[in-house]
Amino acid sequence: MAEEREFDVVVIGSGAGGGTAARELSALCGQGLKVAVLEAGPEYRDADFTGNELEMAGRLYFGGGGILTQDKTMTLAFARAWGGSTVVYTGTSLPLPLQRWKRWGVPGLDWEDLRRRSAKYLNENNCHLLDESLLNENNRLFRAGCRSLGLRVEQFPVNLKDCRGGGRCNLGCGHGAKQGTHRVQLPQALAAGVERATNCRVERLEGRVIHAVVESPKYGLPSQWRPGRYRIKAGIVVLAAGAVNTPALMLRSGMGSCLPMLGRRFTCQPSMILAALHERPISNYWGHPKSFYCDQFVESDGFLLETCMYFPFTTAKSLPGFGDEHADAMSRMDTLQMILALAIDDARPENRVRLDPHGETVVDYTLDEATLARLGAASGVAAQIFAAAGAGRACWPAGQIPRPGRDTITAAHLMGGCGMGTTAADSVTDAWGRVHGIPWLFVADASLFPSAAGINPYITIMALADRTAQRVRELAPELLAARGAAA
Amino acid sequence: MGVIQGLPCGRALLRALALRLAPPVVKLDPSSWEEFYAIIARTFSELPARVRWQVRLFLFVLRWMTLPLHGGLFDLLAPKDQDEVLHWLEDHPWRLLRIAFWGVRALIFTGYYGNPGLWHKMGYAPVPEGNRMLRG
Repeated sequence: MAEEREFDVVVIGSGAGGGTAARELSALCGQGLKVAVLEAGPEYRDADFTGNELEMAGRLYFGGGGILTQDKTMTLAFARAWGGSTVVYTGTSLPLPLQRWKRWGVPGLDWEDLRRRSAKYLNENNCHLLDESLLNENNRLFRAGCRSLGLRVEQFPVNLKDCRGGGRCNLGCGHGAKQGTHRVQLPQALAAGVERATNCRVERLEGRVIHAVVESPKYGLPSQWRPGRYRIKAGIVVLAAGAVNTPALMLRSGMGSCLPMLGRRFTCQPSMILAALHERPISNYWGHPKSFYCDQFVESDGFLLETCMYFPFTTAKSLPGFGDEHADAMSRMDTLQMILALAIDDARPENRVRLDPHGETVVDYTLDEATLARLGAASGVAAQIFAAAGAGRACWPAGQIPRPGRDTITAAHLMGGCGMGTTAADSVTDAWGRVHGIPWLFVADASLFPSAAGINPYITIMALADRTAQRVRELAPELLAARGAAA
Repeated sequence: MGVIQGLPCGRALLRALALRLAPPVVKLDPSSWEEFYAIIARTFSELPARVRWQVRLFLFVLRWMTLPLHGGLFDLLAPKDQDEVLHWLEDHPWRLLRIAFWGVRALIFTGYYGNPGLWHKMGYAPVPEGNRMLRG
């Protein structure tokens, strides 16, 4: 027997989108409305982030960070935690570039509006450039290499407070330095009266009734609700479960028949970790791992280069080959300079989130020739940067196009599946995140992106979630009155 | 008894694979080998049931496929022959075989590179106060 709950507004997901939406909707609590956030993962204390790679990956990421696309040629990383993927990102904070907004071409998505909202979150999250003394050599070498080649290189603003440079941001910050939604927006939402349930896995929507299960995992803090099944009535539902889980939840709720684009045009900026060996140790695992990027080739050649520093297993998996040469590189991790090459992939309808016959989520994604060629071209430029920075052997042959199934390709910038547009024929929501034909249902996460962002997406997710929340606030009286009338 | 429940082989195959894929395992002491097997068993147990079945199948095929070609089970071959088989799989024209090899390679890597107790051997020694180290 399921327990019954009832709220006026329910937000599903607590990451960049859900956390933002929850805080922006918390103003409704002051009007006597009940707002709740449901999060599939647990809440963690800082001390829970042990830095143990396999342990933390298993706890923080769906599928341990190794969810495979249907053809098994790429792994997808997305988090489950109070704060969603803002718990595991590096905090690099960039607004959507103007060129990408133009490519999106969403009627009603005004550039100035998006820019203003992005600036709001850049400010709110304490985004700033790290002091020169906090830039490790891995990052400085990238900058030096780019500059000596005449490439445009920029420093990432990062959303940190009192960062101590533990360097394992992707495994959760043990110092609480990253200003994710679990640090900034969600505490404000709770203080304003928003209720929450962590460890709460939403199975499906049946009209405005949410069917969910609260679980009791062995790690993280227990849920605020006791374990068991729940039937949650909602006046308005805001989906912010991410670019895989939001479309999947809608499909599982039977919405695919009236929304032909649901789940489609999934993009993820497939990436490869490239590395080169220096003759001497460089400070690579101390300090913040990601300080610089080169976006010079985004529009012309479809790839982006960023600094990065990963952990032993991830690095071993990403370096090509095996045996003595591989082991030699892995035995000198302190000499490795690393660059993350990201392909800016095209939004294609056949790349999509869908359900298999058992109702399980599947991501169909084909690494097409264009995407692979972009990764190959990126590796060519990365090799030049490595060489210009004084590195010796590069672990990946310059310019070599990766071979699906042999070479490790991963993605953490998951986008699309509920794209914004004008009608159900070309999109899933309008420019304010409202689902076509379902007036009480909204989306507030990266699934709204009509195509790839071309940069790290979380600031844009927050800006879009802010818009969605505004529209929910505006329409709440009407929508909730309609619910009352229907009842 | 196999180290991994349901696996059609024991530690011999995993050890043979580890020695070719991650050669530094040769220096592991007995307790580190135990940890190696334990990490692999744990990782394997957390895989979806369908993937576990695929891994088991691939390891079975890998072990026995060498019998007609090389005259022995994979784990009993000379290292040179083992390398030849592994390189053949790694770059095989059939994507499914490449993927299967990639998966087993990753599984073996968890046992060694995923063990924080061995990270110092790889020149990887992060500290919580990394900025202090940067500033000397």
